[in-house]
Amino acid sequence: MRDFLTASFLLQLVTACGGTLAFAVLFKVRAKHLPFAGACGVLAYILYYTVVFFGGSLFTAAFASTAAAAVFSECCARLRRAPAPVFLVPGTIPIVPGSDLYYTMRYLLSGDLPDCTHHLVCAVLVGLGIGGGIVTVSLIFGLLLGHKHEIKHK
Amino acid sequence: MEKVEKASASADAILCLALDIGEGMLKSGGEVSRVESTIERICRAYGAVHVEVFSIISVINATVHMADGTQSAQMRRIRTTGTNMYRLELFNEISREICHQPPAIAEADARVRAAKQKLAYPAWAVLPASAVAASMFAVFFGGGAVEALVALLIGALLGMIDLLAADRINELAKTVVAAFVAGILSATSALLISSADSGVIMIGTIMLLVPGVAFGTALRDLLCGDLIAGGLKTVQACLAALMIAFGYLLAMAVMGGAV
Repeated sequence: MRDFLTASFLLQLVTACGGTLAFAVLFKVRAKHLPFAGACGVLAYILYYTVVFFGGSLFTAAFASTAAAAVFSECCARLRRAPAPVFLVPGTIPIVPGSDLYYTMRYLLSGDLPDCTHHLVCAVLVGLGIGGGIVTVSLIFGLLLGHKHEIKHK
Repeated sequence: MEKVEKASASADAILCLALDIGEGMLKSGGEVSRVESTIERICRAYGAVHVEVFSIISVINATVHMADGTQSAQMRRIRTTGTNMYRLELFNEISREICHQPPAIAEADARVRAAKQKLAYPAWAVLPASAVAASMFAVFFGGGAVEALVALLIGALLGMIDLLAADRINELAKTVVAAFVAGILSATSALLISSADSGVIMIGTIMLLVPGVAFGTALRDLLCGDLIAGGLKTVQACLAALMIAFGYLLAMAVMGGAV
């Protein structure tokens, strides 16, 4: 069995954190929220890695990690009085399937269609997982806290 | 005092204020459902009895009916949207305060105008941020020090393109140009430095362009019932991914497949 805590995983955690923070600045998240946005990205990646490590599918990994990031963001939103996307949008960046998209293009170019479709399917599955995670959590929070946000009709 | 103010504000002025805030949120990357409920809540805070709002990513339509029978219908066309979490937060804050205790329209207007001018970071911050993001993800996806350094430089250049092209060229055209430049430079770096892996450099830099989060929020809108907004966002995200591929393939054609 492979080791869970490898040097490359730790390096990925550090770079996921740095990358999330850099993206948070690109998304104009204010400085005082940056540590929480960074933590959201790290949390998402730890979960993604764990699920894949224990044999879960890419979809499950993307879904679980995004859902965890979304719950974390909703909590941060209430604690820090800021909209949830402030934490969630940078926080899901480490899950975004950039490498699959790259390999899709690369194998498309070299005419290696089986590999091309494989990576395309991976990218779409991860994308669906991200979307599904966000939707599930926002629906659950909507149900639990709906009465607070419901507009009062006269 | 409060009652007098509420009564004296016209339906037009109230709806205009609500739309200013909604427009600000949409332009900063707020969700369509957030924009619609914010506009409705603000109008009701100022005494509207009936509010209808319909928003997609490029337009907001709204009608408001006041208790005294006056009404107003206005529309806003939104041409550019981006991600500006600081402004989204500011507009959210203004809306919360209005709903809690509606201030005079002129005062709220002044706050909206001020929020539109505020910046979380200076404009040049996009350069170091893009550079760091690209190099971090080059290492994240398996690159070493050389790849990190090259991705840092290409990332800074993409930040520069973003800065120069802001609001001047079409978002999709900008994506093609950025993917093309990233493709040419990462292939060139592999030619110059034989140990450099152009693949991870390219992955690190295209992370700046990949519409991963956009795809996620598009799906969210679709599944939450905002079909038109969600559909448009999905098309937008798929087009962005296609444009990255187009720019990259163009670069590879120019470089003669030198990867």
